[in-house]
Formats: sequence, structure tokens, C-alpha cells
Amino acid sequence: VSRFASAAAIAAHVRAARVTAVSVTEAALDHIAREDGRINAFTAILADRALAQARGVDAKVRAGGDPGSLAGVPFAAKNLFDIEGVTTLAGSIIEADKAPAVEDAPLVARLKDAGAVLLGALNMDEYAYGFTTENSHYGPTRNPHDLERVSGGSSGGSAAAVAAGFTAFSLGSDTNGSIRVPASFCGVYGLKPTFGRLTRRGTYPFVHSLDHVGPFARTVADLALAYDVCQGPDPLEANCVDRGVSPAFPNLGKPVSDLRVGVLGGWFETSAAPESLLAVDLAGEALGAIRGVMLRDAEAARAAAFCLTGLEGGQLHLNDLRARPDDFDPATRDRLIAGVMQPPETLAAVRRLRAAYLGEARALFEDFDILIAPATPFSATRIGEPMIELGGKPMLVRANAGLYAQPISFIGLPVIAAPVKTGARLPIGVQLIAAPWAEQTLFRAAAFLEREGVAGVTDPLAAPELVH
Amino acid sequence: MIDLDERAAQLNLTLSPQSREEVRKNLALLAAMAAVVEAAAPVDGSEDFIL
Repeated sequence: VSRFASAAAIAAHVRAARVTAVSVTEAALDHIAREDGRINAFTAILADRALAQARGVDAKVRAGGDPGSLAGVPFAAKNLFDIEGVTTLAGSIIEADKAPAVEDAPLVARLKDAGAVLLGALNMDEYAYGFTTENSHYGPTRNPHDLERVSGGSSGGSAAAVAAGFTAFSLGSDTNGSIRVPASFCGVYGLKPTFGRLTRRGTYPFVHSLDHVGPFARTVADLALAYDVCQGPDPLEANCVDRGVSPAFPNLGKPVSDLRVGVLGGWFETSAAPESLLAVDLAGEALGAIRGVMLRDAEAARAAAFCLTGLEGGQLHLNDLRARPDDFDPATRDRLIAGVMQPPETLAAVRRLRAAYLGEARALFEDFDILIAPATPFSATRIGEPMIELGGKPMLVRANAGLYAQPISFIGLPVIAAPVKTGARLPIGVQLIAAPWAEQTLFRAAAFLEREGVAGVTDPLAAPELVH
Repeated sequence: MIDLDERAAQLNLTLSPQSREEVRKNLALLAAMAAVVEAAAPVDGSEDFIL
């Protein structure tokens, strides 16, 4: 089994006893030991525990039992997911003082129950407030495609781990683009499901009204396998809507000829770099999309997501902002303080806009099944570079990487970020967006783009930057 | 326009001189964003968000 093998292939081999879960786990741990010093995707590696879990999978196979759909598949989780016996850092040093988690987050537990082997916890922006994973406490996670560049954030470790072949899939979270931005920068698939689809219990919150969780993977099939295992009700989390399990994997091969596809114009094409627009063009052309579809008030929706993030995020951390301000990354602290200082009446306007804007989006989905937009306005920027120039105009990287992601997550629409093969050296992704709860449609479209060779993942470790 | 010192006192927050300048910049950005939201949000619209 190669380092870049898919989860589906690994599980098939392990289930058929052609390879052992232990050998797959050992190979993954060796690869991490060799390469992660340069990438810095992991903040905790749980080698002994992973090997013990892998031995359990192999024992099940030997006994003729069902080892699960993800038998022996290595995975890891952003360090805001609870992992039993490990302190949930959420990218901070403030949380490092806290007691270890007493149990796995339900998503971690479900994946382990399906036979997937947890290798460790992954780096992120402090408290998920960022788009670059330039974490001042734990160091930057470097982009496996170019070690001088950011991995994106806030789930940068999750995207980089998958891109580098450390794990077959990973878990991340997305409040304003934190799955879609790093998926785009690192050239992997990422799913931000409908708001409320997957349980967030056992994860460190950021913005209650906007937080989502979801997987990253190198193939659409692997993304579907992980997502299908993660689905299911959680009576202990009020935000998790019980809509039953809506499996994505069995529908991947379905035709897309009946899908009505549109490319979002207006806000979603201003300020984009040429590679970003090219990715959208290629995906749109393959899916026979209509161009220039307008989603009204997208700019205001993005502004509202900005304000809401500050209000709720600032309130969440208010006690620590009072008591231990110096223990925050200054950039995180000052944005949180400004956020909580906003006039409370802003919240009512945000909520009114959110309801109305959802109505605008619903009306569009009367005519379209899939909408396409850039995942990011540009490809991965250099580490430590606060500004880039687009069309001769300077642009703040941290504030603008989520320019096109924020108006979509603001109303909880499901999105697959798919890496498009533009021919450029650095990866770039598009957002495939569907109506609420229509993840199955997204998976069909993403699988089609992959089959057609329009989307796909390349192995960055063949790049000169990482060759020994 | 928010009075930074008054608001910090209300919230029982202490700002270092460097933090103060960054908070002021961030607040200005948020105020601009809030103005965009106010302009687009329906005045008497519903606040219900149900997917």
C-alpha cells in the first residue's frame, strides 16, 4: 500500500487480509517521522495508541468479524476535536493548562468504530480565528506543495496532513472558510456539510451560529466514505438536526446530465486572481454551467459573517481576554476584543440579513442544483506575507482569503471544495455549492469532475522543495 | 463611533498601548462592515434562520 493510497484501497486490502492495519499504521508513522518536521501538520502524534488500535482491527479480520468500512485507514483530527486523554488545544496555549479530554468527540469515535486508525491531533490557527495556520505558539503549518507558503486555515494541519500523504483523510472545522480555504491552498477535497448536519459535540467552539465540522480527503470517494461514517443524529447536541443518514458513497457514479449548474458572478468574480477564475471556468465548462448567476447581497453577507464572528467569538473568550490577554496571539486577541466591543444592536441586523439572504439563495436553488464559485481569491501565499497584490491593488491575506467562502457558510449551505487541475504550480480549488441538505448532489458533481480529470490531487512530495 | 475607553471599561478590559491601536483599526473595519449589513438588512424582517 503506497503512502498516497486511497482510504478505499487501504480498507479493501485490510479487510481482505492482504495487508495488516499495523503495517499501514507503521508506514504512516514512519512517513510522518521523516517529513513532518518540515511541514508541522501535527501537534500530537499518538503512535502507541494508533498501533494498539490497528492491532485490534487486525484481530477482528483474523477472527472473521467486520472490521468496518474504514478498516486500518490512518486519519487525524484538528486539535479542537476532543481526543480521550489528550488536552484539546484549539491552537492556543491557554487551553494547554486544561485537563485532557475524558472521551473522544463523537465524530472521532464514529470513525474509530468504523476501523479508521487515529494517528494524532493537527495544527490550526489559534481558536480557529485565521486563514493561514501561522500559529504563533505551535509554528506555521507549511504547505506541502511549497514549504515557503501557508497551508491555509484555520484547519491547515488537516489539509496539509492529507496533501502530504500522512493520513488518507482528516477532520477539520469551518466557521468562515476554515475547511475550504486550506483545501484550496493544499490541493485536496474538503466538505463543509449543511449547518447542523454533523454533530459538533466534543469540539472547541468558535462561533456557535456558524461552526461546521467536516472531512478532508484526496479522492471524492474517500471524502464520501468519511462523511457517511460521520453522519447520524446526536440527541446530546441541540444543533445537530436529525435527518437520518443520507449516504453519499453509493451515489458517486450517478450521471450529472440532469444537474442545472450555474457559475456565481458579481461578488464572486471581483478581486479574484486569474488562476482562481480559471479554476471556476474549467469546472463550469465541464458541468455545462450557465455563467453570471447573481446571488444578491453576497457582499453584505460576508460583512455580516465578519461582524457575527467578532461578536460571538469575542464573547466566548471574554474572561480570558480580561484575565490573560498576553497569552493570546496578539492578532487573535485584538480582533476578539474589537469584536466584543461592537454595539449589540449589530446582531439584530445580522440576523435579519441572514434570514433574508437565505431566502435569496433558496430562490436561486429553484433554478439551479449546483452553484460554482472560487474557494479562494488566490492560491497559497508566502508565510509571513501579510499583503498580496491583485490587479495592481494591495490586499490583506488574512482578512480576504475567505472572501468567497464567508457568504456561503453564513447561511449554512453545503459545499465541497474541489482542487481543479489548472496546470499551475500551486493548487487552487472551487466551491461546489448546493441547497441545504443536498450533499448527495455535490458528491455527484465532484465525482464527475474527478472522473473527467478536471479535478484531482497531485502528490506534492515529488516537488523539488521536498526531495531529499 | 464607539468610545474605546468607555467600552473597554464597560467590558472590564485593559488595553496595552499597542493592542489599543490594533483594536481601534479592527473596530473601524467592523464598523464599515456593520454599515454594509445595516444597509442591506430588511428593516422589519424576520430574524428566524431555519434551514
